[in-house]
Amino acid sequence: MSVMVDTRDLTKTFGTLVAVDNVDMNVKRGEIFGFLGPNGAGKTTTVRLLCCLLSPTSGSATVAGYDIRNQQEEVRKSVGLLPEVHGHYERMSANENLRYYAQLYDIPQPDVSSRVRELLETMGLYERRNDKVGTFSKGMKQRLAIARALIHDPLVLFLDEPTSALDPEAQKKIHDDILTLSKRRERTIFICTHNLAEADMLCDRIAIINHGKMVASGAAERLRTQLWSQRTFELTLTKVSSRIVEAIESTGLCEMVKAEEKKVTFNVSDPERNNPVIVKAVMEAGGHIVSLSEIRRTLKEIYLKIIGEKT
Amino acid sequence: MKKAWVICRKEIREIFRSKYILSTFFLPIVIFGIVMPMLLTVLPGAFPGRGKANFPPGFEKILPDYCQTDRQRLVYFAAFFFTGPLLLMVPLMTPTFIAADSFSGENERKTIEPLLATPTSDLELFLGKVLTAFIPSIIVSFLTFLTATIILGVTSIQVFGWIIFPDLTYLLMMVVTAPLATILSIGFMVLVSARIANVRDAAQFGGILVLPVVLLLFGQIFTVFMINVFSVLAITVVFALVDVLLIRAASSSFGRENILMKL
Repeated sequence: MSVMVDTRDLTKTFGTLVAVDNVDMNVKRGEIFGFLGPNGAGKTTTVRLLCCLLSPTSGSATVAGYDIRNQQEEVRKSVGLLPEVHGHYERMSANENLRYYAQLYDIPQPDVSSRVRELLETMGLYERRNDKVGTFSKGMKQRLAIARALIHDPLVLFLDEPTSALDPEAQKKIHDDILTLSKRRERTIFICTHNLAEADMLCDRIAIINHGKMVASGAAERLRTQLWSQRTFELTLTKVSSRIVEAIESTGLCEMVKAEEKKVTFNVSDPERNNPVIVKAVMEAGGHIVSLSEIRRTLKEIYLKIIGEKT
Repeated sequence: MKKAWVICRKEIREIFRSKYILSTFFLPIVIFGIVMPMLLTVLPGAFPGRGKANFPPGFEKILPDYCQTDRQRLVYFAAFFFTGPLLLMVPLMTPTFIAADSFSGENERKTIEPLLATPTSDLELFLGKVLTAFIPSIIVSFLTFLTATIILGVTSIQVFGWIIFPDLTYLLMMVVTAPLATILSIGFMVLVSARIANVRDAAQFGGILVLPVVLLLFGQIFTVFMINVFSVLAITVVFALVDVLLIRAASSSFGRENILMKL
């Protein structure tokens, strides 16, 4: 799997402000990479550097194998950008907007019409193709912006808040499209988002940036393991008694045990080895187990813990 | 440079959908090309004998011999003292609105980022936008000149028996000075737009460009300064030099990073 985005000590300063501070990362072909961080953390500046809209102060980066300092035109040809603000020409129609960008991205003239039509149909905008974009809803404008970012079939797609203005149905459609592009067509997707549930669901790996510095990166599951040595499980019983709670505590395996009417929640390390011991103790204490399930830490918890620790 | 034309074509198509910008095309033609020449030449002819024309001091000395009557003096005055400077105002004024919309407008409407992300060079972007302001402005300038020339020409046939306007000076003004004035205005507006992201504020600021022409106009009226081949050549040379400086400064300020920093 080749590396499509590779940065080494990438730094960008504006006067005394260090917007991006020695960022090292790599994103592979076909990977969906979530770039998370609070407002003003340096996400947009990083994307602008990688799309050759800004020049780095120091450090280096390649995108699709091209150097962002010396091969800017090749980089721009290889990337598609969905900026935070859609940026359509609202006095022009959807069709005209896409045709304009098709020409700027050097799509051969005979292919322009079919490519524009294909994207308008995919995004469900074909019926409104001749309407001025100014008359479109927020969701339609967002879909058109995604179509524009895909017009030249880029190898790397940078999406800034791709589903922020969309209803749940449209969000699902965009998620499906992102997954298709990544998994079937091996396109690399770089997503900046505050929607952590979306990132958790879509991203193979995430990176968290704060005050310009990369504070964590990796698969969400790996970050969970790094941040919490113990995992949380919920045991549902027909009835919870003090004897059952004492039995769990007496195993000495749990850091925390919390009982409710029919549920016991406990933290445990190495569940593959220790959970059978706990289950056995519960059953010996007369407990009738209905289910045992893990309460998975959400990406939001991971994010807040990392950002909280680093600030 | 193909993409410069792509940008220019799209921008012009968009401009024609803006009533505000369109009005800036028609107003100069109507006011400077039709209304002003008619007020100064045709209207006085419709009311002969109503009062005596007052001309600036020293005016009589520079009048050619063929101006004998008050009406002839008035038409001569309107054509060579008044209309000329006003016509120079058009190539300076018209690009300010288009350039403000094209440069500051992209920032104001937040359309610039996806455009800058395309594989279009800074030079192509710059040229595309300069052409967008240049082509319609020069057409408006020529149309204004043409309508004024027709009105002044028809009137001068009635009054003198032959066409007195335009002479070589004014032809030089329109063919050489006006395009250079248009470039000057665009270069100035690119620099203004680099600092002012609001279209209307930028266009209003661009209004100061007409001040030197107003001074020229008053200089003419009070016969302090005369428009002739030599003075027009001098103005043209000054415009050309200022154009080179402005376009250099404008093109170097027109980098992706500078543009994005204003967002």
